[in-house]
Amino acid sequence: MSINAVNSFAVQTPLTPDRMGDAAAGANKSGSSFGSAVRDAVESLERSQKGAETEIARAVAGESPDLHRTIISLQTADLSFQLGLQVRNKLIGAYEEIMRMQV
Amino acid sequence: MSLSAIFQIASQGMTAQRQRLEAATSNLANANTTRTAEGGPYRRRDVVLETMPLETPGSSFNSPFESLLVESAAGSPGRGVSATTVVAEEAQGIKRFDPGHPDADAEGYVTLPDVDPLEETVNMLSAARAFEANVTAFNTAKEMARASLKLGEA
Repeated sequence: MSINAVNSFAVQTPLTPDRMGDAAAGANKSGSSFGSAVRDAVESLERSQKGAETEIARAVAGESPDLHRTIISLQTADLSFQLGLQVRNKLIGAYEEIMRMQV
Repeated sequence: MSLSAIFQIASQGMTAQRQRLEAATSNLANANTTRTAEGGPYRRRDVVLETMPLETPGSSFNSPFESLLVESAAGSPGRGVSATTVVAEEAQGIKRFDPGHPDADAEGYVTLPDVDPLEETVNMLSAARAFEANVTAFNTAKEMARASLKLGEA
């Protein structure tokens, strides 16, 4: 997941009448749809949480010589999560905004 | 310079300071050691620091979201730090007259490590303070990241 994926979503699927059907039908097109943007974001968050989990497991097993490395990876996962949360808020906000539109 | 690079540098700094503390502790613990595996009295350990390039995002630092924040570390100049523990070469040891000691030489002198407890204590304090400085740098970087995430919210 990258911000670029969100940008390309905005660029590639302008909400012109002829493209709206496309966007709805081609939801599985190479990361350009709204749904896959959200899904990618959630999946990458899960991976970063798993990375932190691995570090904790190593620390508990006594394989990690440095406690601070574990804590730093935890903090990094936290920051990634916060970033993912912000991106999610923006995406959901945009979605709700569109759903509220009068047709 | 990305925020993740700061995290890595702070992490390496903390590791280096931990090694300094390790060396100081080892020196204090062996201040009176007269027998070692390589023969002769214990020789004091010293830590040499040098710059090193940042690690390429590895097990503990990779997450896809982070790829937004991480610049390519490959080929970047050394900005991190690494510590190497070396045995002090000039160490001659201190001779003390103690004929009853099992390790005394023919004239009754025992060679003790020239570990100065005062010096090691100062090294210990210095390492602890430097570690704290790295922690502060890390916290500052994290605060900055948090502040960035809050941009536009107020």
